[in-house]
Amino acid sequence: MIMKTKIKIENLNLWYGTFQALKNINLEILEKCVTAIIGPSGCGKSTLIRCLNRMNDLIDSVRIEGRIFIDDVNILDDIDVVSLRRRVGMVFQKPNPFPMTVYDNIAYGPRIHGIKDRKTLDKIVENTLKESALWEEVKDKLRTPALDLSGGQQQRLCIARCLAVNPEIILFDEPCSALDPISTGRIEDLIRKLKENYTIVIVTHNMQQAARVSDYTAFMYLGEMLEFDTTKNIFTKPKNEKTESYISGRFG
Amino acid sequence: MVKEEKLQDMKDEVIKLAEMASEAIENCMKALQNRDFELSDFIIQNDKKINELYAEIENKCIYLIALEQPVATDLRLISSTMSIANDLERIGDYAVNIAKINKRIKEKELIKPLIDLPRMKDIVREEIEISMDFYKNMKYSEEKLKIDDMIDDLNKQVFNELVLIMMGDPKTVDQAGKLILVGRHLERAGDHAINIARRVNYIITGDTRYI
Repeated sequence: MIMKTKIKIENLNLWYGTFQALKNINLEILEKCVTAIIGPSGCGKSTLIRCLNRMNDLIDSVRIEGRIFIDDVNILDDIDVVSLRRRVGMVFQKPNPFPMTVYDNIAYGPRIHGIKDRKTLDKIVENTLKESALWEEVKDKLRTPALDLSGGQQQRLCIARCLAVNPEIILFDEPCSALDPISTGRIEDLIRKLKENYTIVIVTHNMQQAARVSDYTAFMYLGEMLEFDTTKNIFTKPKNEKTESYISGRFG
Repeated sequence: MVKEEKLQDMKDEVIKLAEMASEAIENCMKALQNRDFELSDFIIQNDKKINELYAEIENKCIYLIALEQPVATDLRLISSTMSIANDLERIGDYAVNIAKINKRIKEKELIKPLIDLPRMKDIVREEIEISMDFYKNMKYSEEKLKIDDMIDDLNKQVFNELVLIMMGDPKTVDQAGKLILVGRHLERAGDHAINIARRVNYIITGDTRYI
């Protein structure tokens, strides 16, 4: 099967003020695959994925050089950032549902994008909750506050909220670090299912999680991408000594 | 991260297993040459200890995989150790087979003086030593494994010689057939020693082509 490149990062450099957080990153992320980014704290993983939906624009002192192509369009050019963030959704470390009902959390995005028809919204809510494996648990609680759900349910709700605006890429920034093993297992199952339709990039500190859910793994260290390969190769025969030391738990 | 002491502890047991297997090979041939049935019985009995140690090593490896979640070199070392322990256990079994052959030949005089078979035994032991040196020190040299060609040549020589003896005197067929099997068992034991060396190469390089 020929895989299509969804995201192509070319010579990406990023500075926070005078500190260079990303150094000449080159990476190709394939469509409908899960790509994990691993590395010790402060290596630039989160900074890198925040470039993919231009979240770093929100920080004043950031300066970026290089190019990031999504479907051949350089997203660092002057583009519509709102539309970019619709195409590139993000799920964060801590579940962050809006303080409103389960239903409204999901309908929020579509409404902003102009969908007002009740029946259409109902359908979106049901479909995305089904897609995020939450429907059975909340179908009778759509009008209850989202904050009443458990942590794992809230995280799946955030994933559903992200799916509601029909993205192409989903970024996960440590999506399970605040969850128990059962909720983590559910999210991991979900990630594996979602890759049938979406391109997924996940940042994780949990080596076993990266090994379990991803197809490709990138190892970053001090702002550089030291190794990128299939997850199988990274976890069985990494080429770089630093990668080996890190994944074996010898540093980091 | 898998603690270095835990890996060393596992390796030490494999080294011990290798010593036991190598000693069994030495003794089974000594018993055959000296027609020493007590020694043969000892080898058969002692094989239980080899089997127990093998099971213990395998258990340790499984615990390490389950509890420490090794990756990369650590994972290759631990999974290969299970296979290496299995090779050593099989070498012990070949020693038992030879010990049983000695008992089956009974008090009868040997139809020929044993010269090439003990040579094969020496090479098997040398192969075990080479492979275990690779394992202890995580190094590999294809050159050193050429020694295995000698076992194959000697085995063919033993086979041809025994066939000639059988052709000359049908009464020797029973014992000659048994001695041919001794050659076969030694040759197989040598192959297992070579497997160990190739596994070490895999641990070092991750290359599965030669295992």
